[in-house]
Amino acid sequence: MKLVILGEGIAGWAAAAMLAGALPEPRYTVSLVPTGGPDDSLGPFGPAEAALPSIRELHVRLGLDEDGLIRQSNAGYALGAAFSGWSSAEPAFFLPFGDIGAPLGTVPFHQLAGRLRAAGDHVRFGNFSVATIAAQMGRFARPSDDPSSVLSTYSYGLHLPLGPYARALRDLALARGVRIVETPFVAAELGEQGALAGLRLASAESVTGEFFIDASGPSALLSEGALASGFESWRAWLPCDRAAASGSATPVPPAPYSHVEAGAAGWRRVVPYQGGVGELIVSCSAAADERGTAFEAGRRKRPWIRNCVAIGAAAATVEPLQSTSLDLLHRALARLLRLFPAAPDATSEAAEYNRSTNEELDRLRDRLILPYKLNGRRGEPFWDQLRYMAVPDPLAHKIALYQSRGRVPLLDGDMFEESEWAALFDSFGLRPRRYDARADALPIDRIRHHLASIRSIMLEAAAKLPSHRDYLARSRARESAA
Amino acid sequence: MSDRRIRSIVIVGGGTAGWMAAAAMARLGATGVEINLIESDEIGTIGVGEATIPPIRTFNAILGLDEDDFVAKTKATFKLGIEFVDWTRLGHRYMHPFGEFGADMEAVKFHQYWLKHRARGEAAGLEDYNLCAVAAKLGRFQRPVRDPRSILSTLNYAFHFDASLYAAYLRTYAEARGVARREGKVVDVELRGDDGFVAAVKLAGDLRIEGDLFIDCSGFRGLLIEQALKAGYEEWTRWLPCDRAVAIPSASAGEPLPYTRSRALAAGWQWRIPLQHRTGNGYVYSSAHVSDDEAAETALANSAGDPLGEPRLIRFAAGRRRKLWDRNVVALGLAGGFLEPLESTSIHLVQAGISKLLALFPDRDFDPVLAAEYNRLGDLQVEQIRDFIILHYKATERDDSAFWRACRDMEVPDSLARKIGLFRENGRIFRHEDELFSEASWLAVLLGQGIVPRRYDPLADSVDEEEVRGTLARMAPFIRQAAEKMPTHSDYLARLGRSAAGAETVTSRGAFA
Repeated sequence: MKLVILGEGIAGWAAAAMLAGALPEPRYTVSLVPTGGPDDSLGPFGPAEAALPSIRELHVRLGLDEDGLIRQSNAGYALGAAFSGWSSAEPAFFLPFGDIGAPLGTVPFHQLAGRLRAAGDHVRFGNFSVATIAAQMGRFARPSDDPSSVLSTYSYGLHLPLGPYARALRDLALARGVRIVETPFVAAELGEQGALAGLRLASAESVTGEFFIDASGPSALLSEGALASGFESWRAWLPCDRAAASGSATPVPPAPYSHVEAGAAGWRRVVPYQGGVGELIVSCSAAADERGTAFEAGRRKRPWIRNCVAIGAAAATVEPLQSTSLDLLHRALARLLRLFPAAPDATSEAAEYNRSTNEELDRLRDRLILPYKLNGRRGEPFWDQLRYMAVPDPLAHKIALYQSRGRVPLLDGDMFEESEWAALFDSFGLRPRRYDARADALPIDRIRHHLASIRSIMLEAAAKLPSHRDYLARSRARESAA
Repeated sequence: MSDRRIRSIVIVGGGTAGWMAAAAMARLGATGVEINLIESDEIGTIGVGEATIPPIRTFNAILGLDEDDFVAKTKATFKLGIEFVDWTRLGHRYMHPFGEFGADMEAVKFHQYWLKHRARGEAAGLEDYNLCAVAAKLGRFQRPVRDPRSILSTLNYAFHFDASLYAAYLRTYAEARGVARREGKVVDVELRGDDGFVAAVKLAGDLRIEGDLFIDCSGFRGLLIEQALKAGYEEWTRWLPCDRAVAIPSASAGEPLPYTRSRALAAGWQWRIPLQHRTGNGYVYSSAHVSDDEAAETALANSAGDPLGEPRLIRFAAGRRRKLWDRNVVALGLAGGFLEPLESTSIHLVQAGISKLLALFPDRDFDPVLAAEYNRLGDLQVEQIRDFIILHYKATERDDSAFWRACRDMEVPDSLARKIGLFRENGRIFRHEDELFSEASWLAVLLGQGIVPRRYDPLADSVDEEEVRGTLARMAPFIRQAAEKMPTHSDYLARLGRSAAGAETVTSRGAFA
C-alpha cells in the first residue's frame, strides 16, 4: 500500500517516522509531500512546545534517544506548569507532572485534604508534590525506578524548540526509508469513487497513493479542502482566536517548568529551553487588538474521511493551554496504527477512529474551558463574560460532582486523571461541600500524621536533587565523554 | 456546617445481595451508622449454585475473609472459565477462560499473530495458548503463583459456591460487626409527604423501621424501588428472549469440573455448576418456545446426577430498573435488574453497586448529582454486560429451532454491532477502559461463536516470521506440560479441606486449653 503524507512539519515527520517504523516494506511505502511555508502542523503556536510526560513513550516507540535529542535540540526538562493571574483563590498555582500526596488505604489524597480542611486545617496541594517542590527549587533529576522511593512519584516532560525537534524527526524518517518529494503540493486529485487518488505538485507531476495523512495544519488541505470533512467550532466556549509566537535567546538557565499567565484578553506562555525561551501570546480579537495569526478553536467532524486521516492541527486546533499538542499527535498516530486498515476503504475502522478521536477531543475541550469558566478576574469584561457562560453538559456534571463530593466522573476519552482534575479544581478554590465518607472512618490524627510525614520526606528528597542547570550540564559532559 | 451525615441504613431483603451489602457497609461504611437488615424466614432466596468471576476475590479480600475458610463454609469449588457447548452449532464447544491468550509481541496482540499463522496451519487452536483453558479441560487446578516469570502466574480464577451458604457466612460476619437483623415481612412503605423519600418501612405486627438510606435487595419485585417509588423498568427481551428458568440441584456425579458448563438447548441453555456437595443444574428458556413442563423434563433428563428435590420455576424479564438509585433508595441485585447468568455476572453487579455506593456515599441532603453519577456508571456497566451476553445468541450458526433462528436474525444494539464489525474486519477488539470483560474474554467468545476475522492486523507482518513461528510452536506444548503438572481439581479441594479441618482442630484445642 502506498502511503502519502502531506506536510513537512512536526506532525508530518512524526507520522512518517512512526508509520515507516511499524509497517513492513516493501508492502508499504511512505512518501512525504511538502506544503511549503512555515510549520503550522500543530497550529500557529510555536516556537517551542511544552510536552507532557507521555512524549517519552512516543520517543521510545520511535526509537528516538532522549539524551541525544536533548543535546541536539537544546531541549529542557519539565516538571509541570505554573499558572498565574487565573484564580482568585490562588494568585499562582502549579500543575505538576506526577502524584499529589498519597492515598491512605483506599482514600484518595484530595479526600483526606477535605477531611482536614473541614476540621479547620490549612492544606495546600502544592506542598505535597515532589515535582512542585523541585520546580520551586529549580532542581531536576530523572525519577527513580525504585517504587519504594518518593522520587518515583513524579514524572517529567520536555520543552522542545520546534525547529530542531522537527529536524530530529525528519532524520529518523529518512533513515527508515521515507521518500521525500522536493516539489511542493498544489492540489488534490480525486479518484472515481471520490476518494483521494494523488497529490499534484508544483512541477505538474503527481504523487499517487492509496492512503493519505493530512498533516497540513489548520487549513487541512486534504480533509477539508478536498474531502470537506466539516469543522465543529468551539468558539462559543473558547473565544481566543489570535496567536503570536516569538523566540529569544537568553543566557539564563532554563526553569524546569513553563509559565502561563492570564492577561486582560487571553494568556501568555513562556517555555524555557537551553539558551532561549519561546513565548506565545494567545488572545481574543474581539476583546483586544493584539497582533498574531488568526485561528479558530475546534475540530474536524470526521478526522478520518474516505482514505485520508487528518492529524495535528489539521484534525483539531487546540490552544496549548494544557500542553497537549504533542500528546494529541502521539495519540492519533497510536490510534491509527491500532486501527491500521488492510485496505484503503475501511469504514468500520474509520467509524471507530472518529468516534474515539472525537470523544477525546471533546473531553479535552472541557478541560480547556474549565480555567476560563472558573476564572477569578472580576471586573474585566472578557473574563466576566466567560465566568457566566453555560458549559457543555459533561463538564457541568464534573463540576457539580466535584463540588458535591470531591469526585470527578471520568468519561470515555478523558486524557486527564481524576487527581489531575482535582488539582485544577482545587487551584481555582472549588471546595467539595462534603468529603468522601470513607475519609471519615479514619482517625483525624492519623491523617495529619500521614500528611506531615509525606511533606517532610518530599522536602528532604527534593533538596538533594541537582539543579536543573547542573543536571543538563552533567548529561552533556556524560555525552561528550562517551 | 450542621452534621448531615447518614445515621441509619436499612437494607430490605437478605439473600446474597442483602448480606453482601450489609457486610460491606459494616466494614467500610462510615462509623457510627446504625445498620438494619430486614428479612423474612418465610421468603425463600433465589440463590442456587452460583458461579462467579474473578473480581469476587477482591470483594472477599476487602472484607478480610480467609479464602480457605470461605471455600470450606460455602462448599465452593474453583472456576477457571466457562465452557460453551452447542452454542455456535450442534457438536461444537469452546472455552471462555479467565486469563490471557499467549503473550503480545512488539505491541501487536498475540491473537493477530495467531490469526496469521493459524490460517497457514502453523499454529495450534487458540485455547492451547491459554493456561486456564488447558488446565480446565484437564480437570486441573491450582492458585496462581506470584512470580511473574512463571507461566503459573497467568492463572486466574473465581468460584462456584452455594449462594445461600455465602449469604449465611456473610450474615455471621455482618452481625459480628453490629448489623441488626430484623425478622419480618415488609407490609407497607411510608413516604415523606414533601419530597417522596422513603421515611420508614412497616413490618407485620406494627413494627416501624426508620432510616436515612434504604438499600432495596428485595429481588425482582423491587419492594421499594418499584412498588413504592415506581422507578420504572426497561425491558431487553427483544435481545434476550429467555424469560424463565427451572433449577434442579442434583447429587455430585464424578469429579467436580473446575469450570462452569453452559449447553445450548432448543429454546435456551442449561447451566451446570459443580459444588463440593452437589451440582447445580438449570434450564434458562424462552416460554414462547417451550412449555414449562417440557423444560422441566429436559432439565431433569440433562442433570448430571440424581435430582435432589423438585424442579423450581423462576420467572423474569431481562432488563434494568430505569433508576438504580432513586431519592434515598438504592436497588441492588435483582431489584436493580435481571441479566441471565450466562456469564456469571449476577454477584458481580451487586459487588459493583456496593463499591459505587461507597464511593458516592450520600448524606441526608442526597445531592441529586450523586444519584445521577451512580446511575450513569451503573447503566454503562450493565449495557456492556448485556452486549456481551447478546453476542452469544446473535453469533450462532444454529438454525435447528425457531428460537435460534430468531436469535440469529435479530437486530443487536449499535454498540455491539460496532464491536462485531471491527472484529470481523481485522480481528480488532475495542473495549472501554473500565469495561468488565477483558479483551481476552471478547476474543474467546467472538472467535468461539464463529466470527472469523477476514484479515489479520497488517502490523503483525512487521515482526520476523520465523521468530513468531518458533514462539507459537514452543508455547502450546509448554503450557500443556505446565497444566499436566498441576494437581487435579478434586485433589486440590481435598487438600484444602484437610488443612482447613486441621486448622479448626487447632483453634478449638486452643480455645479449650
